[in-house]
Amino acid sequence: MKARLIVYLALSVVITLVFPWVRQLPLGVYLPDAWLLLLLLAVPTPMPHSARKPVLLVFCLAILRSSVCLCSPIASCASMFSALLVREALTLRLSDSLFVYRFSCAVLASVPMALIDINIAGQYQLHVPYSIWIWRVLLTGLVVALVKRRATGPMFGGKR
Amino acid sequence: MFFLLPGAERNRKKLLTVLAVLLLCAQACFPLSFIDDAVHAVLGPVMQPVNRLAGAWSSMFQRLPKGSLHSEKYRSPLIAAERKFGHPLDVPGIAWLEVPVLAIDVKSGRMKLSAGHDFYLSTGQVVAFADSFLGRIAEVENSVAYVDLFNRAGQRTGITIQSDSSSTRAVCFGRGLSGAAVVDWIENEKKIFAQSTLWWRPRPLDVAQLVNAGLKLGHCIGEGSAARGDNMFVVEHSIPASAEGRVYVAASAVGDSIVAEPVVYHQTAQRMLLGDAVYGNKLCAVASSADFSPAVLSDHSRVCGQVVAWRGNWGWAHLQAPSAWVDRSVAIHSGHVRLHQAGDSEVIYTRGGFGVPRGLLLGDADASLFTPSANLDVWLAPQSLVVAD
Repeated sequence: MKARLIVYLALSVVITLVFPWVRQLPLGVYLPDAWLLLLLLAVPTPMPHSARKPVLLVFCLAILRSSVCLCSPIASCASMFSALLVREALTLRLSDSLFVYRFSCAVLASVPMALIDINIAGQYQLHVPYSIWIWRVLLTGLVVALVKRRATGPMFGGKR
Repeated sequence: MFFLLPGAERNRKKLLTVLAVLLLCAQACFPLSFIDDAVHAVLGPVMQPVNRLAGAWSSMFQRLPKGSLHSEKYRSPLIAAERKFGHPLDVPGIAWLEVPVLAIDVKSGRMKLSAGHDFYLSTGQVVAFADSFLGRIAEVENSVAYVDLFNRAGQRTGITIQSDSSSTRAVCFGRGLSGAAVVDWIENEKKIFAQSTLWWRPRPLDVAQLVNAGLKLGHCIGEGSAARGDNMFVVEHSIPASAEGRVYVAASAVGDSIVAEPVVYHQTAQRMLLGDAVYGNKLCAVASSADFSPAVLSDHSRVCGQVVAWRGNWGWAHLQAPSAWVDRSVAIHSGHVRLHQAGDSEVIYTRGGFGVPRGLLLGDADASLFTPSANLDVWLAPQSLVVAD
């Protein structure tokens, strides 16, 4: 379990180093947020009873994300915790056996981050077209729905 | 808490979690700066090296212009133009003190200067720009002085009306926000016509030679209707765009210097990361040992963009093309300074205000975004952070 957490943290460091460059690529602005994607794929649904490790992962991802973007660590934490909360609330009511449900769940989970990022862009008068946020949200949903299947084991060994 | 039922305990945990996340969201959307500052102070030592590493990786794939490592002291052509054309005529016994302007509220007729007792300014001194009389110093503080422009409500200024070969005396009466200053108490009303030149006339206690400086208020134009009986002459005037930068104060006795340089903080900077992982290539992370929060980033003294967030000794600059500075830029046109208008193709400079020093080069108005490479500098004009009273 601990080893898996270390692997995810190492992966997040690599993402942090590479992703700012990836964003500069011609279609890079449309790509989903890599840290959110990693979080949604790494943390199982429903969440394990002890949320210590997911919380630790959120803090680490938020600090790494804020190191290479304008958002403050608090804003990144708020985005990621909101994503986990929304997803948790939805997965208790929706089955994840169908692609549509998994997709909807992931899309809705990534909406808070998009809203917070839009708000921060407004605070600093950065004009980012809404279509970019929509693409990011939809692509996050698509990737999570494709990759995270019911059979996928929980990362932190939580019992389902 | 052992007496709580398992369900109640779970709900309490959920409620606390939701509340905590809502608080985080509130701080993200409506940030309290001291909380953000504290977080950045704690996490800065981790975040800055990560940013540098990401920048080093990115720069291997980015084609960046290579700049020389030497930078010369920047001398703004705008400032030179303002000095050249703004200095009133030299008059024996009078020195013109050059004073930077912090803010002008043309409509209400108030101007704020960035010099005061520290530059030996005093109330009643005449303020001018080139051949335009602007007003008199009304209030002086330690490092700030306020000028009542002649159109300020209740302000009276003696004038001589000149039309062709005849002239007459009158008084100009400021109306502030109610409208243009009125020409009143005309000595000989037969000698006033539309478009007559209105020359400034000194008060009894002014230095008599000042009349030779040839200062004028503008031209007079008719307003109202004779049929209704509310016709009058008012002053048609506008403050030159250059006067937003500096004005000249008449003094018969001067201190050590006759030029009050505006306070501008300036420090070299290093690019850390070009591009942002969320907002793309609009942003650039820079580091500097500056002990101030800079307002603008430049490369080879050419402005790249405004610094939008500063976290101790590093921060983020919003890279902008010169066209994004339409309302905040000026241009030199036929030797004179004027406000830049959208669509005009010309070399433009910063207008100043909101912490941005006046006269920094923005480049050609239709140029594309200027990517910072080497010789970066960060700037702050602290006195212009608040531009309006």
